[in-house]
Amino acid sequence: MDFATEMLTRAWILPAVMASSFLVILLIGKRLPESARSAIGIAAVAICFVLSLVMVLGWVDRVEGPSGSEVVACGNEDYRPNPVEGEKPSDDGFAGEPDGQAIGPVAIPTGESAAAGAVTAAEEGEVKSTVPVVCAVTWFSVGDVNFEFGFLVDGLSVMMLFVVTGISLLVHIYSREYVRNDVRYTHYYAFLSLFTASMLFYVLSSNTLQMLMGWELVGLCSFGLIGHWWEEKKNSDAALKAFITNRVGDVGLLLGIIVVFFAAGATSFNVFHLNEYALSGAANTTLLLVGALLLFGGVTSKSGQFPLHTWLPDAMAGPTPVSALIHAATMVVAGVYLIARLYAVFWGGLEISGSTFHYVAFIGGLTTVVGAVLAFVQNDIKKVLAYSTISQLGFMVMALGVGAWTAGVFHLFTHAFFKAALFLGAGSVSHAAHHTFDMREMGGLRKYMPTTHKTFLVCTLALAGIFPFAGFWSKDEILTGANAGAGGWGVLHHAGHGHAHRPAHRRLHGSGLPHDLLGRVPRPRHPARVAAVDDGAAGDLSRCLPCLPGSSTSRSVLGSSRPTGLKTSCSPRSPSPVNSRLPASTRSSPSSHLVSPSPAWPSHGSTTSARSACTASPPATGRRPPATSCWTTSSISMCCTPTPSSVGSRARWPGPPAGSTAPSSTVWSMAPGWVHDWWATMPTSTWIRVWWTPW
Amino acid sequence: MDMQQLLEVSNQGSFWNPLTYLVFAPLVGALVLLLIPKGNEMVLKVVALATTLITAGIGVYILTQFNFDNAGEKQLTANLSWIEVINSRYIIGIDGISLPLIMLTLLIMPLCIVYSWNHLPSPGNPKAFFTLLMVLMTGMLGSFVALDLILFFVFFEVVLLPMYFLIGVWGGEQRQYASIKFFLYTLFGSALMLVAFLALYFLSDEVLTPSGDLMHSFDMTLLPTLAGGIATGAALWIFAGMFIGFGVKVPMFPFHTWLPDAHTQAPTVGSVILAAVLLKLGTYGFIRIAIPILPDAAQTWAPVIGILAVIGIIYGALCCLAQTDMKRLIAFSSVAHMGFTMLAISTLTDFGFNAAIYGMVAHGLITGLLFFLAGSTKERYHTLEISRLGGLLKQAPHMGWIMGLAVMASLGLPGLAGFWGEFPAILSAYNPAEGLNVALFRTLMVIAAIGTVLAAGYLLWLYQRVAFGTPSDEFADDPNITDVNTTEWIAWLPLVILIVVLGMIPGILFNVTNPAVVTTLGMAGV
Repeated sequence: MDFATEMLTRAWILPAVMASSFLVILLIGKRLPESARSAIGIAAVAICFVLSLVMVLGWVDRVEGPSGSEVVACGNEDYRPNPVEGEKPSDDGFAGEPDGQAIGPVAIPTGESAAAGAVTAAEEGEVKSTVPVVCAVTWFSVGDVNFEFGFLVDGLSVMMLFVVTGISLLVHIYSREYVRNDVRYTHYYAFLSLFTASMLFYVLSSNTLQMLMGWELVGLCSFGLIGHWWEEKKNSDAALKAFITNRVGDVGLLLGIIVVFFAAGATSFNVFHLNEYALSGAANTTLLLVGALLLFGGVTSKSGQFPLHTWLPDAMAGPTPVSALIHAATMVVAGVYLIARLYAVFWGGLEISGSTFHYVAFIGGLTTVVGAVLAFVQNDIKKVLAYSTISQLGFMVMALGVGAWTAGVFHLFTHAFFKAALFLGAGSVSHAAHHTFDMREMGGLRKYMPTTHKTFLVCTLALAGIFPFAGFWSKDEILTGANAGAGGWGVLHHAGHGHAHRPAHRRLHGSGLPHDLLGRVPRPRHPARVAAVDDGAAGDLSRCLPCLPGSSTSRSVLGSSRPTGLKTSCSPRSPSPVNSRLPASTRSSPSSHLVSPSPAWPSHGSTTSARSACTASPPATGRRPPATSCWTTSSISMCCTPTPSSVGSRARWPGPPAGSTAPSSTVWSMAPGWVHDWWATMPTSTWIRVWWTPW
Repeated sequence: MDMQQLLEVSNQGSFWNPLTYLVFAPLVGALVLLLIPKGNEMVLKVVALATTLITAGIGVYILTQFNFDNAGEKQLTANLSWIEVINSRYIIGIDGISLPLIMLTLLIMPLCIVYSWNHLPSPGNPKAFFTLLMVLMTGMLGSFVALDLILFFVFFEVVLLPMYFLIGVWGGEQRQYASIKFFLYTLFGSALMLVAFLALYFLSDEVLTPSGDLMHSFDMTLLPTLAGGIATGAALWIFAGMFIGFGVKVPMFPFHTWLPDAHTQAPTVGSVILAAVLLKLGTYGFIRIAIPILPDAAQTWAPVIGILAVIGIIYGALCCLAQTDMKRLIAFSSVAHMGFTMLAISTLTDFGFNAAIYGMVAHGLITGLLFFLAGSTKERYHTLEISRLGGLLKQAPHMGWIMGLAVMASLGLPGLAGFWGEFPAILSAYNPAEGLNVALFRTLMVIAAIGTVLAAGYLLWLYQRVAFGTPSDEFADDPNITDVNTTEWIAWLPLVILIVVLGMIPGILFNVTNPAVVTTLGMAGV
């Protein structure tokens, strides 16, 4: 076993390193010079970052190599989990061992593999399953139930490892200057370390009980860091608000964990066990529904979903690097991660495929709109970013809510980077602008901070979903998913999306040729156009609102411009093996979901066909392959190999659809409205207000 | 069958059992203290500390003797004749349920003595003060090892008097009122409890004593079998008596009003012991005596217990939000936390009992620490009025941090001890024992979970007002306000460490309590 693979079984090292760093800084930090305190933190995170890179490589090896379907030995072979009812106890691993007979060809119902698996199962095992690495020991026993303490490594968690350690490292480094000579430099770094440890613990947890621990601990760190300057009541109020609002959602999480635990036989909190149960035909759908709704309560507070989003803007009272790390990139996506991790529970409980009321998608979509709209009326640069975070979190949740698992997780990944960079940029701006965050007092900073200006611009464009930046790819996925899967509600999401990020929207419905289009986008060059921003916003919004189901506008927008390739590729299939193992209620006939063409996994219905189209035959064939779906393929691989650079190196990456035949007249006919919309997008307006306004 | 068992048991063990040493060592210490002249303050302190440490040493020895693989069985038992007229016997023994509580007592007492080193409450008189503490310790330890109802009752009452004097003599301004209220409430409960014990004695089956007579028995280990024949109606009344007796001590919702007064007026050490150990006598009584002996009655009463527990959670939390005095707030938070424990007990499940014991220990550690902190705050600011406090983190940063940890633990943050009392308690209510109303208990579960939000609310609000912000002008330059001193560190650090360790490795406790809980429930046939 090489080092990378072995590291997969030693995942506990990462949180342990950070926890030690926390203890060291806390206990002896005061006796060290300032630079040494931060150096300890930075060194610890750097080690973790390197180790997580190793784990990423190890996981990629595992996915691509021949050993992917083997269970990795953890050196704790004497550990025996509770036998799951109706299943023979397995000798060589816990739920990592797929139970082929009972569930299907691709049987590990993590969100990732469940989503991908359900799709691929229909294609007769085109993609082989990769068994997650789970190493667990018995934590304690109550009654006859053994509680396991374990770490789990799969594509989703290595991706999170990369995000958490990567951004944490950057934030640690950035903070060296940002909080220099701060009254509580030691505490600041101690909390950063504790936060990183908790977050790593959370994403590596193999069971919901541990996840709850990590979840609350990151909340504690958030509390401590929001209230970093607690001398002012405003800050401690914000900290309290954040903690207590989260606590409200945590009631849901707590009860949800309990309900799902009992629903699944009261034997184990293991996420695979719960997911497996949720996908098994024997699942009690009522309990699952209640459990999923309760769990979503936790998501609502932690990931800033409407109506519990209110704490997040206030959380900006903390130091800006903290906002970047905790309240933009990592902690707030814990809720999204929860859905992704327990996806089968949400899938089965809320009937993501079959329900007529897509609760998760609806809340996500609503949050997207609410967050984006509220961002317009902020003068504080950090609050704009906070509301945009809310909006983006809404996107992720919406994506998961419409079945676009990969897209949601991918957006989590990309968003973390550009949003963190935006916050760090905002921190620099405030330091340059005499510690103000008020954008009314800024303007023309481009002249004085050219580098920050450029990075901010790039991130803004990414946030706005502009090609070729990361946000473009991930948002595009989500819209594809919403468009294909969410039925009537999809329109609402488009409304929200179009408001904030119209380009991708138009591109989606227009031609499927973003690269062509975006190459010719006129960039805003003149400060005089700033005045147009607010008007444009209003106009943009009003244009979106009529897009609700039933209105003629919506029909004309959606009906005429939906990419035909997508539509044809999503033709209903006969019930597949996947379909038949879903709960009976979701196994209804495809025709009952009028707008959603794919019966079981809507968004991936299109993905599947697209994948085969892209991989089997390059896009030179007569029928134009839907470009949007081709990129889905790339992001599936992104999920397993979460480095943006790896996209290019992946063999399956088909590249932009070079041979496309869309008429260019379509592109140009759209241009004026398109440009206007883009001009009015929320992040863009932020950018202008900060960088272009004259003093 | 029963007779033979009794005959075997009666011959068992000797009086000079480690548990006997454990229980009576503090009493010996108290006698020694009485011999020391009043003015010799340092000698008094040293003797008191030595007594508690020796007792704790015996406790460590008992730990080494305790067979953890067999924690479900009573160990180190002795069964000797005591009051032959009524066949009350000297029966002692411990199992996985009593062991954690004994260890909690053994931990808290030395810490209290250390804390009192520099914080002797007025009007001083260390001799009386420490003597009473020693007597108190005997009472508490005796209650946890006694396996005979009368023996238990005696120890239970031994606790009462020292506490009465601690509050009444060393308490705050309203000490007379508070101490009498405490005494009357507890005595009222004890009276009903005694009546219930006697009824149990007379209505249960007889056993053959060593002297060859057929007599009724007070043996807790036999009564679950002997009480099987008691008529349902009578059993319900007997349970009601014990319910009120233990419920007052816990305290459960309608009987709780003595607690805030007692806590507010008691000296710091008194509050700590009251919160850490005394309240647990009530919950321990439910687990050890009331429920195993009368399981059917317990099942009938369980919904009432559960409802009162949840009312306690919400009511206690709301009262906390209305308090202006820090100590009183912590006292009400005890009502809320014990509500979780009682909810767990009312489910009559192994999960619930384990959660209850964990909750008892965790609450003892956490609330004990909070009362220590409150005492030290009072020492520094000469007031506990929350609105006058503020900026503790600025003036005494370490103390502020420890308070932060205690507050977080108290609101049930996972990773700290409080969580493992709260979460399994809520969890157990999802699936109560067979025969209980599932819908009712699930409703209770939801309400209890809402209580956790309120707990976060009042505790963090307290923390914000006390620790955050800047000190008011009144205290800004007060030289009395210093950071944690040595004795405080010694008294608090073990609690802090245990709160964290128990929060991270809950197995330490669960693995000890679980076998005993399973045995107890099996005995009760629930």
